Amino acid sequence: MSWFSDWKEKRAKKKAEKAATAAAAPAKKEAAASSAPAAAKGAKAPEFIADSPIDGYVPGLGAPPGGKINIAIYWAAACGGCDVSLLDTDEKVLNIGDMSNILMWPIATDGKEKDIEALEDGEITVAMINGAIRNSENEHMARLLRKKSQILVSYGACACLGGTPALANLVPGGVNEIKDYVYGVTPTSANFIADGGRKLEDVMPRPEYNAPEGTLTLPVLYDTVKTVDQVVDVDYYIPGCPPTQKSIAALLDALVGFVYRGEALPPKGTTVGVIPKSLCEECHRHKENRRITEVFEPHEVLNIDHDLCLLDQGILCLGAGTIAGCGAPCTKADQPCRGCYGPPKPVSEQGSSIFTAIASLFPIEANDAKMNEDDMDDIMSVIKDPLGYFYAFSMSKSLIKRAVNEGGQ
Amino acid sequence: MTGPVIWDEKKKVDTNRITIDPITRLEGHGKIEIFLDDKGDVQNAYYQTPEVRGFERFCIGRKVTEMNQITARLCGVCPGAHHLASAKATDGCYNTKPTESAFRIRDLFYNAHFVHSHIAHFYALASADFVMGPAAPAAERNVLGVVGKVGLELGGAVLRTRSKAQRIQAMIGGKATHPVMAVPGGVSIALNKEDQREILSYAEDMVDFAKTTMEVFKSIVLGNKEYVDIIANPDLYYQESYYMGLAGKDNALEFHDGPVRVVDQNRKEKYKFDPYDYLDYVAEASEPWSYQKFPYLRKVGYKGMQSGPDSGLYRAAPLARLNVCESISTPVAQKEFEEYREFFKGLGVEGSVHFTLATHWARIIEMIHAAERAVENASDKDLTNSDIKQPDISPGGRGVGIIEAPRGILFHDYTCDDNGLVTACNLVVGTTNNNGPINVDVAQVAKGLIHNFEVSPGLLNMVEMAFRAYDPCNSCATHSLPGQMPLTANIRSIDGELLETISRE
Repeated sequence: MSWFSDWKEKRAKKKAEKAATAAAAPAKKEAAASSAPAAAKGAKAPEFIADSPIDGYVPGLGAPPGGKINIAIYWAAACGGCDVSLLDTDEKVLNIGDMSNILMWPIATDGKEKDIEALEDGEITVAMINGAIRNSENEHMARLLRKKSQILVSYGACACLGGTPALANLVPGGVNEIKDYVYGVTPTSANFIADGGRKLEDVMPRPEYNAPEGTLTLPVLYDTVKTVDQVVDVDYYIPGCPPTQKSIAALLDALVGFVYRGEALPPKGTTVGVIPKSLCEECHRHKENRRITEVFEPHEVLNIDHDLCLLDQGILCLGAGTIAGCGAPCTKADQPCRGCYGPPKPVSEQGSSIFTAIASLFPIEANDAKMNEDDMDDIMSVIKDPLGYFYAFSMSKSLIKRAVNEGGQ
Repeated sequence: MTGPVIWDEKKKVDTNRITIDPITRLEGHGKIEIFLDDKGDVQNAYYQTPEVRGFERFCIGRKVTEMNQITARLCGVCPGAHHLASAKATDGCYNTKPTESAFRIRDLFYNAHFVHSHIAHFYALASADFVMGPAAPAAERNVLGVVGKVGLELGGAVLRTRSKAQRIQAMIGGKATHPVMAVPGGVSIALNKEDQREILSYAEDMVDFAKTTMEVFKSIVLGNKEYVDIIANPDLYYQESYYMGLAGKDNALEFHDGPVRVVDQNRKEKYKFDPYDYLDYVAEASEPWSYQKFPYLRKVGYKGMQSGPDSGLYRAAPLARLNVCESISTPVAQKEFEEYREFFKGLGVEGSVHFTLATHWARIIEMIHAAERAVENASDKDLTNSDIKQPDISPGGRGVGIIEAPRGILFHDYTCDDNGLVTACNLVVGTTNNNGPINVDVAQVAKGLIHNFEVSPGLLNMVEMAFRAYDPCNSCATHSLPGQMPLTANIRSIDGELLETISRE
């Protein structure tokens, strides 16, 4: 392409000119500009940048000796961040292309549900599902992919734990209450109804509608948002919102080893891309296990000590109840861990375990047994919305699971 | 190289209804239903969105300081936009504004976000349709086909430059996808001189690459008369709507902060309002056949799926922003903007540019501007200031944060109590602004292309190009996808029985 060679020439010329005029100190900057991947290997938080190297990645792998495997990637109730996390591997995503035929990837290709239905059971080697299960279509696709796949991976926080969409489980009236609010109560919608003298039931979206030209259909929404393993059998889990490049590398490594060298896959039920300890072990901050006498929001501490544990500074960090593996990017940015990787095994209840850990740091000593309930309430009331905060990503997987109206479900 | 494949062979179908389900290369799930009349012409078409997650309701009771985390999960492709719109709304709930130093850091983050998003969109989505052609074989009509045609060097440059834009966001926000840096009145962490040098070098490369992208666009799209004819055909991708966008100083192009400006079909100012007054100007219709709402200008009124002075439908995103603005503050983008306006003047356009496919051109002008702005931000001697948080602020009240997301103006409106818990929440989201106009375009393009029961894979893709122009988001996803991007259309009888399947393969 002539325009591209032209551009390259121009660019080279410009760089040369720049170098000539800025001869005093050009070296450092040029180096940074021209060797981004190398810079990425530097000391500063390398593991979650888009062009970070994937350990064990072999460029240009070519087709596997036993032929390409079949892969399907599907998103259920998701935001697209999980799909982007796969694509943020940049050139390395081509490895997936080297080793596999991608039979489905709706964010980027036709869903081809009919093609999946036409496959033999087990014809897909690996299916990855991201997103939670919140409607009839999500569940149908999860069941279909399970049937057609040898290995099913639950990918990302929503698939594994419910994630942000599962905060909807805290709405007692379920889908009807949500729809009434979204289409009837939000001010932009309420004004539409009031201005036109309309009735909410006439403009409310519904599963089946008879338009003048024919019937139009929409999926049915569920009251309770579920994880993937609450509707189908899951072989492997990879957590995170979204999984960081480090965790994805572990998954790709396992697949490359399996496909190219016939290496055994991890035992069924393994959570891939995590380190079996709490995030605190991976966090760069040191701990002094101070008592919490006051709770602060991150913005309230004007000069956060960048090297001291955030809990020690009164900031509610969920790292102690969260499994390691992400590289702790949030605490590096002076923000607390929100727990998107889920609990370390064998803890099953992430929210209550962190809540307990934090409560134990409150100034209630053994000799405080006579402390009355009001004083206890005073102390604990500094923690706002504990359900939403401590279960920000794991509501579907919790014992609480959802809020109900009295006499409800 | 051989030219793009624009037209393909049509085939007669024996049905009155064509369903495209799911439509592809967009963010989220979607389908199109096309209804034919007795002559085989298009009677009507519907663009349906089959999901709703109900963020507005389940955000009630949450900590307002967590809203920039929760709402970022509305979209993992444009999380930076939600994160910052939410930050602005939360600033409002705290009756504060970010410090100057914090605003500068947010602004730099956001310009990098725009560059990442716009690069990905042009090369992944748009370029596949233009370089290979709307009717090219599916196996070639993807980014690998594009790279094969224009060269691996460009492909590598695309990936590397987008990576640099992501890297800037990760350096500021902890993570590029679902960043964490925003706090009420500021950001969580300051930048140091070393960060600044690294960011500046990336930003300079982004400007170079954005300029290259403009050359690519001019060579491939504007250099092809057939494309120019399609773009400028008033029977296809053309719609006389209103336009909405943020207004900077002297109505310059603005992504981050300012009043909202609406222009009419003749590009005359219709409204200019403070973000806190948006409820007087914007309302959202709903229809029983789509979970996605249909925003419109409240004072003009809702007339369903039609555009024009009497219908309140307005458009957002790059085409709208370049109709709304009078100038661009950075030199290279301003020059390109003048050329853009001149080009359409040459076609007799004095007022707003109504050609939907011009959105692609507008997007690249914006990419250049965002990259130039990132260089300005990264060169600022005050970038590394440490006063990044507001002291002594407390929650209680309403906050409205309006920002330009890459795919359209974005509204976050929260009210919280004195404990900092959310009591009301309203969201009007980027692409949602264009929901009505996308329906209008999809129906018009279907009507313009499908006659006498004659359909082809290429024609159906051209129907999809109508919505694709609006939605840069999935570009991030498609930009480095190997393999095929086929589309299957199921042709059904009125009672839903599958009669025939047309595939692009």
